[in-house]
Amino acid sequence: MRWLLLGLILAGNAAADLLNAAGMRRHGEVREFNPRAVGRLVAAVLRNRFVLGGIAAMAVSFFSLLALLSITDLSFAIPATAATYLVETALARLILKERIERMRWIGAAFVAAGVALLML
Amino acid sequence: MHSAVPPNGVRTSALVAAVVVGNVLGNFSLSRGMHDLGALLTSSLPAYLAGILNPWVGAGVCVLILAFLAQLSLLSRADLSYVMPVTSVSYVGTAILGRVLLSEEVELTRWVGIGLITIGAALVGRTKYCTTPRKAAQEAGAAR
Repeated sequence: MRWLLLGLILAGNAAADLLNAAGMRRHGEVREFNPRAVGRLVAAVLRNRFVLGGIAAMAVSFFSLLALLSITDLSFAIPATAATYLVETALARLILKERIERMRWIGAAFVAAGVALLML
Repeated sequence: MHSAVPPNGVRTSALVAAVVVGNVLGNFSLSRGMHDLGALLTSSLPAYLAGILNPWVGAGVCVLILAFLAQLSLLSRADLSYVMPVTSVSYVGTAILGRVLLSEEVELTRWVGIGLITIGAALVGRTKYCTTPRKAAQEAGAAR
């Protein structure tokens, strides 16, 4: 059960980030940050199916985390949470077609290792 | 084809700062509020819902929503593989805030972790933040 929940947490996080990124790429670059522009951004986000899907995926991840915490320690989720940085970099390459130079891979690996140690 | 946002990246750095500061402060405020509420949260559903009215929780939620909007804005112009590692320094900020404000113990392992995250974020931060074609947002009614 806890492996299923962990899978849901990871899949939810990855799906959320990918959907949000794809949705905001479709939206186009946000450049203005005055109150009216922020209001327009919120309205646009609430109409953006990708971002709405991303928010739904975040909810799945969040409630799975709550369920996981009711049956095991947070430490169970740490290695996988840390690995997320590498997994999402790979998915960004495969699905979003981003060009990932070596420095970015190395940086993501450092962050993954650092998050694992910090959360332990 | 490529980003028309100023290449000096000042605005992008400001968005990264907004995401990180927002996440750190929002999470701190939220956990402070949850801590104040304590066992009350699990006693009943109405008590749980009333928890939202706690000022720390309310403020934390508002700040986290703003941080989320900043992150979406960042994703509108930067790669996901750039945004995720670079904004991970919010973990560092949270740990340091805990040390400074709450006198939380930070063992050596965690300091090493903080160092690794900082190095990793700096390495990713040196790469070009956008490697995919972008367009400007439309003025009225964005793309669906």
